[in-house]
Amino acid sequence: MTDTLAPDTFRLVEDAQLRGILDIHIDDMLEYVHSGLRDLPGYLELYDRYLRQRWNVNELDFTRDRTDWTEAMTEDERASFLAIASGFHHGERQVEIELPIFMVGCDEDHKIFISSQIEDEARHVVFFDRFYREVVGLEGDIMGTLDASYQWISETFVGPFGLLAYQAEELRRNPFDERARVRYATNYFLWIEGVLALAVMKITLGYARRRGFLPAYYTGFTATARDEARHVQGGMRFLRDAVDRDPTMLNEIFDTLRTILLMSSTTSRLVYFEPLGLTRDAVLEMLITQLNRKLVTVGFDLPDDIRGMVQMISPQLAGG
Amino acid sequence: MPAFMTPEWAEAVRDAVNRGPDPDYRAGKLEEYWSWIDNARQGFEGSVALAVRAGHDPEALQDRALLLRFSGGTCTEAAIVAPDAARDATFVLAGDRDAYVDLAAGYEAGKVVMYRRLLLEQGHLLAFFNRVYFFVEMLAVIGTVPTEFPEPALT
Ligand SMILES: [Fe+2]
Ligand SMILES: [Fe+2]
Repeated sequence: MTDTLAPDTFRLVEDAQLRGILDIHIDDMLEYVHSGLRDLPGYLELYDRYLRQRWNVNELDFTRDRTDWTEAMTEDERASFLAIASGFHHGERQVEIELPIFMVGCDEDHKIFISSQIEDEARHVVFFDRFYREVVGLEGDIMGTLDASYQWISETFVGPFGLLAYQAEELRRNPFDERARVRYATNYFLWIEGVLALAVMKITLGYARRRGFLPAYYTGFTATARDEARHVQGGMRFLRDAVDRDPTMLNEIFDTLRTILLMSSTTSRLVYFEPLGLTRDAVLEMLITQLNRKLVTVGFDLPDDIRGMVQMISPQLAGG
Repeated sequence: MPAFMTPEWAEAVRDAVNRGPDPDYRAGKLEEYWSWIDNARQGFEGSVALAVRAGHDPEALQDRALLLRFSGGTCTEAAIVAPDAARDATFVLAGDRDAYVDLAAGYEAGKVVMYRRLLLEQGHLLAFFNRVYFFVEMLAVIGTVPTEFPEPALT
């Protein structure tokens, strides 16, 4: 379990309560995701981890964040930050509402774990809602703040997240279609959570940590990253088991990745990462690394045409 | 102003789809995004039907649908057809009347898809998403075509 993290760092990340999360470096948190991929845990083990790692979003105090936002951060920093964080505000909401239908076709242990993931995603929505309301200053109900932050997300957001909505609809009509479930899981757990979310988390969290800004955002979103570790590990477990049972399921994974990579080969808006201390190339590199590490650790070998498409990715800034 | 789901409206839609978005709207998005869409349109030999659904029952398509055929990068035909003919289209998108009313009132086309206001009733899901931004921007253009929505008859 600890092959990529020193044992005491692993324990620190695994066991931290919400107050202790501020001390965890985001890079260690991202490593933690991969530490569980080689020996994928079972669903009840992941559920047990959920019970221990669950945090209370209403314990966060955004007072300091509000001061940092309005007084310490520059206009450019705020603009770049919103262009990136808004993809999460919407992404969390989309993965929350599209997950229950997947649970219908799961076996019993898996159902228990998915129920915890649904609760996680709902909490992530509330986290972003609080951030946009109390720090950025948006108003309205849950959909009201979402509608208000929609202006900051790229039009290409509808690629992976529109696909997820339509895949959920496909499952609504036929919840036990195993091939459709594998395609859905490829988009949701491998791409949106395992690649987009983890790579993009590093941008705003790395910035907040370097500058010493936004402590409640850092705490809640790093705790979110730890939740995502469970989601990605559960998702990769599902995909690997599906392929073990029927190796032709790999075709469903690859076909889905081809569509995702084609959609990801463009973006509709230029986002300036520089105010947050990164370049577009560095972000791209993170996306590619995240994808390759997931695939390698569960033993999926990409065909050459997909390898070529991976090199053509244009960074999409969202997650769930 | 042509009424929704009439031949006059279909013709206006075809013109608008072939004209594409206005320059101001285009300028708000990156050129690479528009060239991705151009590629998707050039390669699309097929048809899209937009149907009106009553409630959530996929069988309950209402009496008329818009059928758009594409070839060589152009919308070559726009017709108002019966639901059975709409089902021959490569892709059938359907939503309730309100989805179309909102689209015409400026509701974002991306949300129409993401929030499932229009659903893919028929057609290969991944193939649809291989050209997704082309279809979404097509919906956005359709939303700009002035149209009237006659009050639904009381039944
Ligand atoms: Fe998640
Ligand atoms: Fe999440």
